[in-house]
Amino acid sequence: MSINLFAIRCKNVTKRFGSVRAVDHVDLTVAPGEFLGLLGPSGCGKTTFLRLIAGFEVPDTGTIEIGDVRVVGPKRWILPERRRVGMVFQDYALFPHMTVAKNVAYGVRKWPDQRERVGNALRLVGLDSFRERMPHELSGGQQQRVALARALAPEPDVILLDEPFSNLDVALRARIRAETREILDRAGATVIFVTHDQEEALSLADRVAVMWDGRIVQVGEPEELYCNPTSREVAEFVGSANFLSAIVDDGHAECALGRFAVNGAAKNGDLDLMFRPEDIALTVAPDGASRVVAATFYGHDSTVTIRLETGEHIQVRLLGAPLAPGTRVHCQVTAEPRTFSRSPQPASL
Amino acid sequence: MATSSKTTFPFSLSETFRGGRRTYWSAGPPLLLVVVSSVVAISILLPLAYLLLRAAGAGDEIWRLLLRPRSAVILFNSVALASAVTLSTIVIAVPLAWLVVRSDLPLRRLWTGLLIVPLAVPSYVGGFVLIGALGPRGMLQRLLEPLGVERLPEIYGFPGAWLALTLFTYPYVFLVVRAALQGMDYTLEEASRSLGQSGWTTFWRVTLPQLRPAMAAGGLLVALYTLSDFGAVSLLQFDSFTRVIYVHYQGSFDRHLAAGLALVLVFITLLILVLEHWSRGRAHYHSGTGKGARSPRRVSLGSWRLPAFLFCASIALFALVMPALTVGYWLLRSVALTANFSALPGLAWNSLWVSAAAGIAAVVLAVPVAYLTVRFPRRLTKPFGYAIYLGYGLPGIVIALSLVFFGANVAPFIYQTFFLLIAAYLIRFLPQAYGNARTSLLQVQPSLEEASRSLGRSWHATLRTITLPLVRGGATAGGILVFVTTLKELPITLLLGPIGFKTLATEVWSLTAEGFFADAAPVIFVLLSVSLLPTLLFVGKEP
Repeated sequence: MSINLFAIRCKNVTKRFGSVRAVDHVDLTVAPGEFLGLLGPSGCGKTTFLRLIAGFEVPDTGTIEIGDVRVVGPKRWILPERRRVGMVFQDYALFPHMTVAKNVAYGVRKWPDQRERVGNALRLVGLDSFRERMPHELSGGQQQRVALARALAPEPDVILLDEPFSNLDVALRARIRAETREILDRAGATVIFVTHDQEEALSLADRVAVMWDGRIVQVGEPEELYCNPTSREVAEFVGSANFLSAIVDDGHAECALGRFAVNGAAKNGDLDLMFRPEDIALTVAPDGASRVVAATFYGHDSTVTIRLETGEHIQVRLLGAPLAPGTRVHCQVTAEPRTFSRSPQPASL
Repeated sequence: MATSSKTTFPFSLSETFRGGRRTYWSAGPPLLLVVVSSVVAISILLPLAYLLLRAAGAGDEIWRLLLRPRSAVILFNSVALASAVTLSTIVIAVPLAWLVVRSDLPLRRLWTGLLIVPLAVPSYVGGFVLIGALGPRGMLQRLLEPLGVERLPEIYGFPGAWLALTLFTYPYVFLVVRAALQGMDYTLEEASRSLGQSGWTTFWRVTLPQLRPAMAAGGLLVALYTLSDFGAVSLLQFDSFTRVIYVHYQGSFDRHLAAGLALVLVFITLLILVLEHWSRGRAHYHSGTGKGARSPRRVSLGSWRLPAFLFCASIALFALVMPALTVGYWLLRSVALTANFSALPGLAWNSLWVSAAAGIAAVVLAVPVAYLTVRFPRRLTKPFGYAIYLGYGLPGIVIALSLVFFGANVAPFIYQTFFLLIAAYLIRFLPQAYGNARTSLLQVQPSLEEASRSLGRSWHATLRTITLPLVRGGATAGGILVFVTTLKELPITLLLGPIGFKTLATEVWSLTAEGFFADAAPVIFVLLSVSLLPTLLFVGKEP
């Protein structure tokens, strides 16, 4: 068996629907055993991309390799049933006319070790005692785990999960997420999961690929993505971001919150500085130049909107209770800002 | 999971490239489905196109025939009958529906069940009931003769046709309006009451306007049924389109006029459908959100309870008790007359086997077309669905006539064969099987099929193990529905049955037409015992 440096490699993959480019020249490599989150707003093409890997859509251009097999390429297209790719669907797609055990056995039917595999897969997800139940007799979380067991039973090289947690109650979600990660780690599979929830992507994935308008705009480890976004889209979609306009002069940028050293390469002129809401500390001061204009309380933390001297608004995160609107404050920046070139109009979500 | 033998995967990846993209569906539907669907659609359209061509080919001659004053009389008759029946069914059915859903009428569930039963009575049996009960030599006349009554009011013509069709089609309106009342958002009525309006004003200004779409939909069903009905009007000798078409067809020297009249009938049918579509497009009503659904407060009828009860009872008397009594009376007489029942098994066998053949063929043809139009809803596949639904809007006699023309002139080798007869049944009733197949296919999520593919199964294995098992129930139900409606079908069987081929339906019709009520009664008894129960089972599912 050859040792691969990648489990999935996509090169220049494009898929159009009519005039819309759902997936636009995407390159992506996933390492064996890696747990990759594909993050993006709804309609950005992430589900289409997953379906291209699984073989449910035919790309217009590009190559896709899974393991050491090229499944899509010039004059080459391998049927979905021959790709050894397990898929967990958003609606779980459990066969309603089959028991849990029959669902799980479906992909390993007539294999010599069928019984063993079904038992292993069901034990792995902790549903061994539910073998004879029908899918409609299970809770949402149990259905999700049966879908997982069914995908794992043939021990595919790659598992794809399409918004696997979006149909679950918020209360259940955190627990099922952690369990799912644990199950997949034990199975040792390479995983791509699609989500529009940045918190889910950051907390679960080894690496996150951010997709925007059919393109992958940044790939990185969660921390890197959050701290060093390379574009305004990523900055705004992964966490929330405040942009303040600044003037660069002699290696320093001056904005409403003060003067900061910037990368020496920055040319003199206009640019934008980005601050995370938790990177700004507030001090109540009757003579403060800034004023609280709105506040939302979430329990363990709260968000206040501040109107700065310049008329710009920023969001600041506080631990505990918010400040009352009208309060005058001083703002103190506690972390280094990131710079972005000035966009013609502010990007909005 | 163990790191064990991935080599047990039961196929090798090297042999995976077979014909490339064509083997997966995102590139297009399987050719076989397109071929089957095209054959079905062409078979439906071809005879109709031929009828149109022939009528056009007759040119001036046909216009001369159609423009006679007599044609205007037929047109007037048909439109008058359809309007009168539609109006009277709405007048009967809306109060009935309101009483069983919204009032404290006693025995509501029983009335609901009983009042639907007349739906299962074929119109020629309705004709038998009226003539056999109220006709010049009918049951009432015979019972009253000793009392010196020599003549009852005339039942033939408009009054009889109107009465028969009203009594046996009002359940269409009843069912649709009842469903609308059950699904209605009662908070609108409560809002009206809280704005200071009385219960009566609320009914007229809030409840009834909301029922208008349901009344229109039910009325449309009744109007189309009346226009296409052959059994009742022919037995009651009322000159509407279908009867005149049949008479002209029988006098075979003048088949072009029959074709011309058939086309006028098609035109009127289409006109009604267009008008209904247009009126629906303007009035769109949202039903309740379904949230907070609770049983509505029932209206107390107070001193109106007795009149309301009598109203329901009188409808049941005419639509249920009278038919049962009439058939029973003639059945007893036929036993008393020691009638010969030896023809019955043969008739029943004929009816059963052609109906079963039509039911099975309908499922076999409907499922592939439904699969194509559901899974590949593209501009190119839509016409297949439209072609199938076309048969629904066409009167049976028009379909039969077009196939007579087509068979006699273009394809004499199938004329007067069972093949053509069953083809005609399919054109008329395939929509029922198709609709059922579509509904059940729409409930099979595409992700189920994709899950199967990603678990290593080919598309035909997926079809066999996932899709077909999941649609089997719905498709079978559609087949049974086609079976039952074919069993009761009359005009197509009359026109296209091979020479000497008789079914229960044609025998009831011809015996009644000739006044042999005692001979017709046992045939009716057999027909209803086979068809009543399955028909009523479907009433719950059909709109």
